[in-house]
Amino acid sequence: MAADVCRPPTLGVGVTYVSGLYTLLESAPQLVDVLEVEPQTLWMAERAGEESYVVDEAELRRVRDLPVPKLVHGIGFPVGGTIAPARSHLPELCRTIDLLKPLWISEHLNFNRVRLADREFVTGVLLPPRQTAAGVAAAVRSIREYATATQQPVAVETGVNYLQARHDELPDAEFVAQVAVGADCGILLDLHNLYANEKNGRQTIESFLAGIPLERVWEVHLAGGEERDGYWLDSHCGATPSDLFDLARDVVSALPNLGALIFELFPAYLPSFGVSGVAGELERIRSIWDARSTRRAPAIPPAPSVRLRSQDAIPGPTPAEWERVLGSLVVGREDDSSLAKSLQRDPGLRIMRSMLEEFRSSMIASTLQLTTRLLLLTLSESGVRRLLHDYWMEQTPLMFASSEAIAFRSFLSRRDVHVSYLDEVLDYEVSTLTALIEGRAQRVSFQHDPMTILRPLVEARLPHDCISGSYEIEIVPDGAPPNLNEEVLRAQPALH
Amino acid sequence: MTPPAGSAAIDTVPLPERTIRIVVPAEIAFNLDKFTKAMGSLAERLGCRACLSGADCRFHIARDYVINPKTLAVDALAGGSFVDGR
Repeated sequence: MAADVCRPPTLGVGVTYVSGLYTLLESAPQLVDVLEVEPQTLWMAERAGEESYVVDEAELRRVRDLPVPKLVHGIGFPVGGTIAPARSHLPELCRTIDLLKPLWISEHLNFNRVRLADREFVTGVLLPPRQTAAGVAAAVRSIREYATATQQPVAVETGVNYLQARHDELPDAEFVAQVAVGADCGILLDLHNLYANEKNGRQTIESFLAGIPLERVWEVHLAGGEERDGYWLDSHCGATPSDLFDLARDVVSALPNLGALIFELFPAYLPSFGVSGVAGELERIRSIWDARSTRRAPAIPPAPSVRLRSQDAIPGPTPAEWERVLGSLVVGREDDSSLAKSLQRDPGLRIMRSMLEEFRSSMIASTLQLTTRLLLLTLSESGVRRLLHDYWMEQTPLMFASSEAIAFRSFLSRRDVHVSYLDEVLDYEVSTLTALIEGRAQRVSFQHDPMTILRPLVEARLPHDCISGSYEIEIVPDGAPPNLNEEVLRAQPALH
Repeated sequence: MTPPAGSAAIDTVPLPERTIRIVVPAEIAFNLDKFTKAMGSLAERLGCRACLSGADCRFHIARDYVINPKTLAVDALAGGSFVDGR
């Protein structure tokens, strides 16, 4: 990487793109100097149920046309593990980069893919890598491959880690520093991740900052979180905590090559936090940006050779073993190794499992809304959770929500679940997402008037006494304004 | 049977077996109620979830919608059960 890459352009304050923020970004451009785009959130499976990718072209072009510089922040193919980022995603990533022309790109210093004897599976959540000399070497290799494949300057994000610090691993800061120097890359300093780590018993922010090359920090993330079961979660659910905000003011002033200060919010929290909440947070963050020192650090000398501590001599699991065991435990599989036994004693493992369960439940709830509602109304929450648990024991996590939905339908078809109208509702929803993804019309047969099933579910009521008959819904891929949905339902009497 | 732009046509064309056919644009079929706002755009719902290493609230949003706000009890449980007795 060229030396000038280490001094990124100064962009300013930004936000991670969420479709619900589009109006704000369009109407109040002064709030944002830079927009961070998570490319995989604009991708869909190329064919329903498959792990190949196609960009939501319309949304991507809408984002491109917003008149601010863009950054690309990868979320699906972290660079901290022994398995290199899947090459299958590179064409779409490169196309996204070509279109958005980011000034740099970033990825997570985590792993999410595990190799068992004869297959690989994804973990569904970003997991902490093995922090040893061998782990550093694996991450450096992945980052270099990533930078070569994309031809972009790369920064790696400092991750959240819910596990307790271990005696047989490098401290967090030392691991990040060695990776960044070894790969000659930038650092995306996620202050909320560090905040969560400190609150959950890992390295303090102060100690972390003392151990990394601050001149390599190109970007800072801020976000809000929440406490659950004694852990601080990196939920991106609202405003930056006030104590972190005060700390951020000092930290930002100490970063000589900072290019962007980005606020992150998870899309599902936008309705509760509000667009005005985001606007207010951006104004608050701008006060930090404006107060920072404008002094730039001198050019960074060539990266020194990475000098590892005697960590190599400490016995312990290899990175591949770490990934296999931790990944297996998080997705609920058994492992009887000594590493598994030590990880099972760590309460952080329970938190990660719980997070994964919420992610997977939410994927089903967001793609199969009416099916989820029918199941909840019929089986109650505990019944649905039992059903989902049985599904998770059969099926490891999938990258795309659409793939999870299709796999869940397949699971239900093998189970003897007695829920009235379930097959019709499930067929309707899976056919709908197939029409959207594949652009082909789908037909769904109903043995009852579909509106007497769907309308109550839209209103969160259980359908009953539905009119029998032979019906077919043809779901056509051509879009129409979503606000017409009420017309669809109002038109129902015309069916008779 | 594709509806004209800007309208959601409901065709009621009887098929030979007296089947009633309804034509619905996929976007409308996927956006039947107000939860769409919380669940995000099509790609946000169908694709990879956004960057997050904490809690995802979308299942809770779905659950809360079927809870009676007065009693916090799930509405009428009827119409089905597991046959394995759990």
